[in-house]
Amino acid sequence: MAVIRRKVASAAGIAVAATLLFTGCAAGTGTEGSDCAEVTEITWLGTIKVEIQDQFKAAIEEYNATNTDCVAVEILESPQDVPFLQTVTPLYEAGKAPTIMTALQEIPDMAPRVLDWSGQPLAELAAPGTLDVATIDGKVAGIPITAEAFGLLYNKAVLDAAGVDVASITTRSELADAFGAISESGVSPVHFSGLWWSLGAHFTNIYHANAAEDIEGRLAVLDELKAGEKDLLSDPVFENWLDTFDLLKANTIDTASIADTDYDLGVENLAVGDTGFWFMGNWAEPNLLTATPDGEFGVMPVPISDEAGTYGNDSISVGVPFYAMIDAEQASAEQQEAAIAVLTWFITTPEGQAYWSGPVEDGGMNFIPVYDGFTVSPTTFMASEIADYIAAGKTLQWVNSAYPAGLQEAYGAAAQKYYDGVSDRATFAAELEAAWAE
Amino acid sequence: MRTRRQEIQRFAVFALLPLSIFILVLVVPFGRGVYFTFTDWNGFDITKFVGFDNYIAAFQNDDFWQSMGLTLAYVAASLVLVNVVGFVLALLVTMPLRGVNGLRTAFFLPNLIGGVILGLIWQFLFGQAFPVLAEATGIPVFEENWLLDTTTAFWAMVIVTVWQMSGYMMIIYITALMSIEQEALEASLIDGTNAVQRLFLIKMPLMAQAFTISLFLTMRNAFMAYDLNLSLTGGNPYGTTELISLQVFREAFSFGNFASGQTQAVLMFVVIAIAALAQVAISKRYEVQR
Amino acid sequence: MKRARRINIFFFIFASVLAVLYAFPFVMVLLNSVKDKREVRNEPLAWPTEWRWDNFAEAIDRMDYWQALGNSLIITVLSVGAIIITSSMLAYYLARSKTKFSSVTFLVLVASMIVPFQALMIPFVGLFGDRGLGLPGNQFTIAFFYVGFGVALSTFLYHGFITNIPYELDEAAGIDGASPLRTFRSIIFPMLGPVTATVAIINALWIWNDFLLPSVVLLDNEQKTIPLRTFVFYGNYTSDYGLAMAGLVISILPIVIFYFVMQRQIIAGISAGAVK
Repeated sequence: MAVIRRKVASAAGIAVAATLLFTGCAAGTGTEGSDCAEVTEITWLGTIKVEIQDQFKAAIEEYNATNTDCVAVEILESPQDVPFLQTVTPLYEAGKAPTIMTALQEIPDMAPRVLDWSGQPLAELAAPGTLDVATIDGKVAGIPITAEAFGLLYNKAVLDAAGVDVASITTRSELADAFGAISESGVSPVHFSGLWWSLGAHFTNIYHANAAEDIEGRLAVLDELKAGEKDLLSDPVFENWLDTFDLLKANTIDTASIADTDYDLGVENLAVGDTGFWFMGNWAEPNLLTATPDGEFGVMPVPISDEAGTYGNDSISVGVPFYAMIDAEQASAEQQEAAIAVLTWFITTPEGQAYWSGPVEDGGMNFIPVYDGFTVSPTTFMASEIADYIAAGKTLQWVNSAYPAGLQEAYGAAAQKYYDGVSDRATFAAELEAAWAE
Repeated sequence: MRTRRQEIQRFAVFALLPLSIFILVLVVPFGRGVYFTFTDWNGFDITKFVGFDNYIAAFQNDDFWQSMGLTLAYVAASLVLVNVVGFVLALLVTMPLRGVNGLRTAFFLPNLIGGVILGLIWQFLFGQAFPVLAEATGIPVFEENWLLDTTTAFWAMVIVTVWQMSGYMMIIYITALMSIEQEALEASLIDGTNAVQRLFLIKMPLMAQAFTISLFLTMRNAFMAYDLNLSLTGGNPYGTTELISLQVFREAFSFGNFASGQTQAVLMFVVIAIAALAQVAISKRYEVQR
Repeated sequence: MKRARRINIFFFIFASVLAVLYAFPFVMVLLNSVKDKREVRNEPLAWPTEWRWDNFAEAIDRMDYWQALGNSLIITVLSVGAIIITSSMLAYYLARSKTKFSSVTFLVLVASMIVPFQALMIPFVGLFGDRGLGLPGNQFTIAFFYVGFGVALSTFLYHGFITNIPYELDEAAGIDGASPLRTFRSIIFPMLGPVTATVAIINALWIWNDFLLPSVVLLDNEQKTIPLRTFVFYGNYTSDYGLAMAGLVISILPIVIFYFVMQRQIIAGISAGAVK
């Protein structure tokens, strides 16, 4: 019954009525004992994501208390099922724009009114390629918060018991064999969620990321779709992708029906070992570990081609789920500097890094670092696996970051119909193509 | 007749403040909103006028028409069911039954709760409780989660609407039933009519005004339903249960098409206005003719 | 008479079954508010294996319940009070004034009742922020907005009532030397009791439960109302059902208590509003 079904929705918030900039320390937050002649007040919209909001708040509280930069950060929260633009546009209208915002798909909307990160030290530290999505017309509108990855999550204990080694699965047929082996061991092979965002934003990404080996080629596919010139059914990669879709559907626990779809059910199935695999992302790892604290849960690629070595077959989808943007339209120069200072603290100091990437149980946010110079790294099984994939360059692009607003919803609706068996391949392809027409 | 000066004085004392607030909060923003529909407003800035382009686009937008159609169906279903159920409840609790007060309270209670919270409650019922109940009792109706199929999700919204609003209408009908003059009923008793005849031939025509008001209130609420839609179905499955309010909202805030969302909102107002005028006109004619 | 009694028993059973159906959702929420997350998901109908009263303490804590309750109360009382004063005065003016201006104004008010809030939301926020009037996002601002949005319906209700009050009363007071404001305050307004109850109840229910307006106006976390706070239990991927149910219970409780205390007035209020 998740009210929020939108994977990439950053927790949004609404600003504070206080004057944005005020001078003098007297009333400043936690400024006692510091030498600040002047405290710069800034606002941070949302808590990056709901799951780590307590840790985030604690981090900001500590930052405000130590106050090395003479900056006071105020977190702006709001009801969670609220689209980013619904929160942000009234704030801009009201002249109370938040200083720091985190978002992904709305970056193009925000680009004209946010700070250009080009040449900033933090942007230089960001891992290669992570700024591409946030670069709009040559302007670097945001810097990455973290990387997330999705693919086939697996329960190592179940796979070991069935004698399956994930490293040996390099093609769709081998995946089918692995499913067979797990079945024989008496466990359902996979939990394939029919959640619209899982299908619409993540599973469709597997096709788009495999569609071409280079970014230009992948974007060309999007352009063709936009122009209404793409015939998906005649694309062999799309065919492969549909075959894999069918394979997961055929092997999912229960029947493939969005009626039986529930995020928590997926967590439970994989955590207790009722299934061997689950198509999901590393954000589920804390949930899995809560359910089964001593479990080992990893992630592997979704091979769609039947030829080993085909581009993408050995890679997991890795991307940046949200970018940090700094308002440049209503924030003063001091406030923009202050906002940079906060992010610099998080990303470059030991204290900040401990909050940023430290383990959840120690009060950290468990973010996979995407910057040079990190001394803290996540300790969990899946997070370290992902780090290995990143180090080996075995990553697929999140082409879904380039989906226009609303497309993943339309994709999700079409995919759910196919998942439910309401539509056939031709209808599905036609609906995916039609999603671009709007 | 008052003098002009007295009139102005009275206006200043009684009407100036309320009307100023009304104009500031409602009229000016509405005008501003209408102005936006002729521009390329993106939620932040306006760069140019586009004439009627937004309206043309709205008329060509399938999603808009689908939502509009769904909304009309929802309004029609709510209009009938809320009032039939509300009326039946009113009849029941005006009978000489034991525990009438308790019954009234039970029927009215859902009305106290806001749409968002109602939606969360029923999401839990349809998603979790009913399927388990169906399994336990063998009643197949609720076996599947109703919110995951377009048709049943639509009826789920109607059911919750009836559950929420029928108690309110019940109160209105109770009042109307109680205020029917006894002489009219006694006269009919002498005529030897039975209870059913009395209901349809005597009582209901005398309650015409209550029907007018109940129908208007139901229609207005149903057209503007947003909270319940958002928290119960969120427009799912496949985005097929988006009523017009939610559609307008998503168009603006999820998709960032602010001018087009605003245009759809203005069109929504026009449709509601036409429907409300028609309903009131028809009801009034009926009231007069009785 | 025996047959009549049998019929009554039949209707009594029928009505009782309906009442149980109406109450069922509340019972479910109550029952699940003392369970843990897993149990809510797997055994929603079963009796709790362990009664977790802690859910309530935690829900109160996570929602900042007492603060939210205070905010909701202040906003509701403030707004309803302001609506009663402004709309009764406006209605008095409109009902007593025979000018063309006042009849046009009345029509505009009636028409405005069907303007959807969605059509106003953004254009109106812009007028009041720092770029416009610079109103802060607090209880007074939101009460001001509620007056703007609520004055039409309330004026309409008062108007119907006041037109039935004989004009002679005003005149008599005027002859005694009372000013119009004084006439209104000491003679007319006291006669509006029943419809004032209607106006108070209709607006209180609306404002107490409202979600959209507070979500765009109440900018400060410390000022959030109960409906806004109910959402803290629903996460991006997963929700804490047991806590959420406890949260729903304590969200509903104040208005239910209010109903039981004011039952008579509420019912009378709705009745008066419907049949003027």
